[in-house]
Amino acid sequence: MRKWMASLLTVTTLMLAGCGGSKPNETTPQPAAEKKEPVTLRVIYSGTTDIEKAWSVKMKEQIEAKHSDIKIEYMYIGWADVEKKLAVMLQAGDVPDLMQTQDATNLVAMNALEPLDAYLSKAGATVKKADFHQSALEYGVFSGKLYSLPTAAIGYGLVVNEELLGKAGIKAEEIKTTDDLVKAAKALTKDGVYGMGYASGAPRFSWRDPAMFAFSNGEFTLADVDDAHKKAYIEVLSVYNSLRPYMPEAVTAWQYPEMRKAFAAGQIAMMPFGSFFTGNVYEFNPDIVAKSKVIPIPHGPSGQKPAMMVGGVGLSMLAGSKHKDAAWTVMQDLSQKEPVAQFAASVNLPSRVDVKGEEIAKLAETIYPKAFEAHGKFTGSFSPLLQTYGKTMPRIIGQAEMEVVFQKNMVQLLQGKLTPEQAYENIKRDIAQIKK
Amino acid sequence: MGGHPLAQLRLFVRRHGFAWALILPTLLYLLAFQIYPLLQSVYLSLTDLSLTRAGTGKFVGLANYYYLLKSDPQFWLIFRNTFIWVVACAVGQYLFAVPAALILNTKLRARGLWRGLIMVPWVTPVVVVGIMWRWILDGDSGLLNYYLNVLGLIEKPIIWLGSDFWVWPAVISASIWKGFPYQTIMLLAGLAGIPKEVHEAAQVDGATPVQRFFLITLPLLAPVSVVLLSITVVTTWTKFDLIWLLTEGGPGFTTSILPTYVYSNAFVFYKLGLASAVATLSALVVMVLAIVYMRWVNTDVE
Repeated sequence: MRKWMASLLTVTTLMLAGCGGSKPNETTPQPAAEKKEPVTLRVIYSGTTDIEKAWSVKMKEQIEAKHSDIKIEYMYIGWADVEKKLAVMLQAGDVPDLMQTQDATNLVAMNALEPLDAYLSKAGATVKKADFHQSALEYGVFSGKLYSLPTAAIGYGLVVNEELLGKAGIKAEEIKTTDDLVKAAKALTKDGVYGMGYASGAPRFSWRDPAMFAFSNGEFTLADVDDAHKKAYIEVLSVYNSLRPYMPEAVTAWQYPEMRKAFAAGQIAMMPFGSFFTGNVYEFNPDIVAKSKVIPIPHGPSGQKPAMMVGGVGLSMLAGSKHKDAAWTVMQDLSQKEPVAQFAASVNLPSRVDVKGEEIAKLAETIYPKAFEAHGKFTGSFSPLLQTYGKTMPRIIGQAEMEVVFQKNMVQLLQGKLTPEQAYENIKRDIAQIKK
Repeated sequence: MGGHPLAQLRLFVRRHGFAWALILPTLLYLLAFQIYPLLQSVYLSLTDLSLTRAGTGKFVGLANYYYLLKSDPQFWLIFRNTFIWVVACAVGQYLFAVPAALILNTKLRARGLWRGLIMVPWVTPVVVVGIMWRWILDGDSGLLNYYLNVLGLIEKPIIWLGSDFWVWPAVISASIWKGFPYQTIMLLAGLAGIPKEVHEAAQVDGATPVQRFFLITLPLLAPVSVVLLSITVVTTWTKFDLIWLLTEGGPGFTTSILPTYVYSNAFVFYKLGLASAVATLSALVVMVLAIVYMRWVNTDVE
């Protein structure tokens, strides 16, 4: 009797010792802002390259030095995982305060984000909508409400190796149409070099690259499988079919790291890519930046002129944040000219109209010591293109599911198992099913 | 038992209270972290919950199951893929583990070192294994294509992870490499349990090494082998990580298995109701396999 009572007591004590206590990272509910009690803001940061992390650390130091009542705690979660992890956190009621966002479509659909229009209208707001490039700002607008302040604009275009083009007697500016592109790819494919790259190994990238061509061939999206866009859609698939002999066979398994590594090594001469180019090739070969140039994605027969997709990286406030005033203070600080310029010096393009290319080159000297001039030139050439051709990147509900079926058919197209027309019919059927 | 309920309770507690006190923490853990989530998942499978569509979460009965079994263009392909994956990995690992165990059971020089080295794939984190095998299998600059070319076995590189034909052998090879050490060690333990006298008697009777292997070693390894294969089948059925690292279940759904399909539906498409239905069906199949195993495991090896 005594033995089992002692055991029961021991077991109960052990259980109670393991229970209770506060959840990790739980903070006490914040009283009214006027009292300014210290708050710890939890920020999901997805820029996980060393360069982007360095920016985040610097910003944290500056903010904490400026606001003695605010502490920043980062959660570094890469872009590929952030939405999944956040969905789980939201369901568990473990809501952070701020997060970096790109395509916020799913997060807005989950009612995860706080609309910012009221904050921008408040007296004393230190940022206003007119501070930003409109195409970058529009990327964070859903149903007329703004959910994200852009830190950087992401432009998408065709990045070419000018040195390789020069050896083949091709000028980048002469590649205006998809016919020009195929001819150039053919001329460039020799001596172990391929004309074109494509990251078809992951659904996300398998979709994105042709999406750029669709955008430039009549500003439609790959989700537009209606009869009105059939001709233009098949033209996009036909371009990839025509480029097959001038792409490495391995593209059916490539993801972005493989494609950018091949570009940095001079194994492919052209690739659809974004303004995050320098940060993604510098570690492989800093010299490639000086040899590279961006041009608009060539348009097909259904497009009159090119269009370049413009997305953005921004900051959003979580609707369930318990420290919205402090979060808004930090958002405003990180959206000022200097932090935006420093971020653009690391990666992508400045989202603010008052940040110029020369400033970025100067700031990039410490970040890309072996290629800061080239980075400034690359970035500087990107911005005017976006002014002329930039249109806000479409946001599509259910895109992730469409990406998978699109990838399946693109891989079969690249393997010669489907014609462009057959691929289109399959994609149309599968995407129509998803839209139901 | 007759008597006052309180007296009966006191008697029960005196007889069984200690045992219950010992298993109570485990029971509570199982209830909180296994049983409750399982029941919650089954309930979710009966709803149309999607995190990105407003107004969902209503009870829809067996609609998700009906969709999967009748209308989903991917489900039966993925179901078949799962069987291919499980059987090929379990059998493949066993076929490598048996000769490895036999070799390690002999009087090898530095036997301890070899036994340690063979565990390297098993102890290497699966993320490292996935990244490493992605580079080995790379169609452009992978080691496998390089050495096959050097040996004159191929003229053109094979796009292992992008080819409908080669992607399964490639992925299964990576899984066999990762998993066979565990089976080797278990079989080694099984071999240690076979009495030497049995082999000596067979040798005296004129049995060749091959005969001794098939007529003595294998049958006496049967109990260990059955347990091992069953464990491998169940763990491989639920294995998601290696396939996801290598192919993300692609191209398209070519290498998708039920666990990756659960993941895609839950965390990529945010269709929690459908994902839970896939998970429930998968769990039912594993349960059936486990029941079949439990009935079969009583085979007499004499």
